[in-house]
Amino acid sequence: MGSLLQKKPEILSPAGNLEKLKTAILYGADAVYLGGQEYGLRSAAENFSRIEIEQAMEFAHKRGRKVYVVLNAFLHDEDMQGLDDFLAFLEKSQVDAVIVADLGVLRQVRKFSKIPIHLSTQASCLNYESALFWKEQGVCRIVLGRELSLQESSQIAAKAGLEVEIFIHGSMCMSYSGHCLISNFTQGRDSNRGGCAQSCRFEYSLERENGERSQGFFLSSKDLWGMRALPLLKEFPVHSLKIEGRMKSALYVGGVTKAYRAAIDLLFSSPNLTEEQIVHFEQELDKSVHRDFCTGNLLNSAGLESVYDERVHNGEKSDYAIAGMVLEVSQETNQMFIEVKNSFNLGQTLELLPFQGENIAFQAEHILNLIGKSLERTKPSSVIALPLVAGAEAYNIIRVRTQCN
Amino acid sequence: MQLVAYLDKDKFFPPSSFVKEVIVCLRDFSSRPVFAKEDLPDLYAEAQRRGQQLLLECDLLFNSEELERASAELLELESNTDCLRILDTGLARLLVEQIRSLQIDLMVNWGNHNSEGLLGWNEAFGSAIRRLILSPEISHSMLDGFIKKIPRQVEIPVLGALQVFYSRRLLLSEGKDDVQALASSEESAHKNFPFYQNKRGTFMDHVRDLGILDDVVNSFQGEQVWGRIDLRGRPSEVLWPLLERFWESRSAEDWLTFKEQYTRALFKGYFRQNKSSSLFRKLKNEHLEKQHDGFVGEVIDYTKKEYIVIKQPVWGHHLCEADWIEFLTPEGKKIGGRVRDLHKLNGHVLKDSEHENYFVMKAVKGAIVKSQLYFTKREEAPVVSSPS
Repeated sequence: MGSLLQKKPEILSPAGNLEKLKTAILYGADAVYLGGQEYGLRSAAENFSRIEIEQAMEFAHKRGRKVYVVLNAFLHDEDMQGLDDFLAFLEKSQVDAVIVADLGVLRQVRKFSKIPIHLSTQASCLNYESALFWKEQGVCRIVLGRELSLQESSQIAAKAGLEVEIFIHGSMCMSYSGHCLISNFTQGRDSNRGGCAQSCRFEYSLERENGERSQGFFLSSKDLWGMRALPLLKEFPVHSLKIEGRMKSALYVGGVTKAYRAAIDLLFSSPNLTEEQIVHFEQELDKSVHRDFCTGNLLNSAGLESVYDERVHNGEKSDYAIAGMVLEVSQETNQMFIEVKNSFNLGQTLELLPFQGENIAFQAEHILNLIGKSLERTKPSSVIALPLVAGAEAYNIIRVRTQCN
Repeated sequence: MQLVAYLDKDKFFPPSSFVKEVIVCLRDFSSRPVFAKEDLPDLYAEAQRRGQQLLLECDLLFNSEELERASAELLELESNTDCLRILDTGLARLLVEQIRSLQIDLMVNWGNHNSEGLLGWNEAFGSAIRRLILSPEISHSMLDGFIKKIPRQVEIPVLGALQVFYSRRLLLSEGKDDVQALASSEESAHKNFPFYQNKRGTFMDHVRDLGILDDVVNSFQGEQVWGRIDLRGRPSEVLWPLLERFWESRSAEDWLTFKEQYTRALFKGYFRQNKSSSLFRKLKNEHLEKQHDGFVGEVIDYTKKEYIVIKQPVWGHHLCEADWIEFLTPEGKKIGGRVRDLHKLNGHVLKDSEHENYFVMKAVKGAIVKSQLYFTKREEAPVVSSPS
């Protein structure tokens, strides 16, 4: 393992489907993680069929990016059937690694393939001895528990001689990952096989033993927002920064990936990030759907400030929404064709997110449907044509402000 | 089956006639500490006097700094125990490295639901493992399968509180004092989840206690399978004699008598059957799962009576004008039709859809957004014979 100092960490983005995978890569992800139809923890996500995995590999590898496939469910014996065949397929497809939590699955991977193995955060690896154990089992990278600081994570990498990956952004489990059976034993949905019912997001009334009563979302964690921790990466390097969110939108995937890509590139091409730059990137992150933010344990131990304890809205929110995604541009007709995800009106200001560089604000003028009819307002799940914005490309995200100051 | 039970703060030892081992939970090492380190020598002496083994449980996870401290302290305490029960893989590894002759009970009770994994733990730690402590999600049939393959003692919970949540964060109060509370949500049918917080984190139990002792009492002969009883916080002096009577008689009446005196509702968990697989499958919309044979693409715009837009993956079956097609709607309805007015997004007419990521065609009634489009058949152009 080479020295990590001054080496940019990998930005690892979620890919809930093929469209989001392309979005993540085009917006700057070094690697993406995705789930097949089985064996992952997001059963409700669209996930990838085998043909889609092959397409994903082709798209990513053509651009020098990596693809990791999650196999991080805790499987029962009967779930293991077919895993050997799936592993043979993944190996043939040249996936760059599989992400595994279960020692049984890990042993199957080693038995049936030579695919590199990353240990999932579900295994709650929190210390160097544990990391060494998993290294002995054949793991080459560990996705550390979100309970660790950046400093602790970096020290584990150095002491265990392993690649480490940490979560830098996104939703967080309140429990140690893999240490929550609420969903299993209250709703019959196995959270460790992809069925988490998110009971932690419920509002609870709490009666303490001293009789004190309160109401709130005390099991609901605020989202992780690691932008402020990035400057420490030069002192405490890690190999990979993971963005959570295979269930989230293309706007989230593209917007968040772009912000971290730009921040990391800037950090490693200058002495450090300035406060002004950090604020700028945080403002960009704020435009993707999120809960309230905290820095988790990256800088200090997460305290009550990381939890929705009061009777407040704890849902996901943003002042911006994805207006649509550019499907194609036609130089011939000087138009761009947009798949509309959220409605917007004629004359409304939109923002196009190029894959790199400053975002471009423009007004929605001359909205046409595909038979040339002018529209005053778009509707979701439709395809429309707008005058071409210079620099627009397929898979560019267009966002719209939903709240006015 | 053999039995192992937790000691409660009243230091009431269960009858040694049927409980062979007792578990001690100390502050700094347990999610539910009952004793201080100073209590351990006396407890150990009493266990020895009664002919019971004393086990010290550490069911916590540690970061690297805490790990070294915990390891050092546990090694000091080890002389007053018969065996350590360890959850943290790193801690287990470190302890075993430091004392080569040490045997531990490894807690693999979060996850680890397949025999391949359990064999893996067994091989990784080898003779350092005395027992594998299994998940409460294990069913009777799963356990039957495991014990045939795993050459180690295994342990399952058979009676008592069922911990379902472990967080490092202190969720009930800012301070590090122990706090207990009951939590309920209008969004859950279950009320009054017991929560307890100490400086090591916050933990939650199920609203009901697990009670499968009556299911297993006659099932597992010999010493390979151990059942764990946790009567902490329950009236142990009343309950232990009733349990002893049940263990001797193994009768349904005595189990009923015990249950009547038990202060909390009991349930079977997943022991009789693990139903989570079948329940979860119902959550998926099978109509949205793509069948690749003949799959063309997905409808992303349906403008009534006018046109539809198809998003076509690279592997999608290409369409030509007049091809017979079929749509599968998200509700599972099948709608037949033919390709008409095939063109690109910018209006250019297409001969076929090859090389297009998106194409437009005449709307087919009911082929709404998210419908899947499949190729059915192509009619060959009629052979036009040249005039002779």
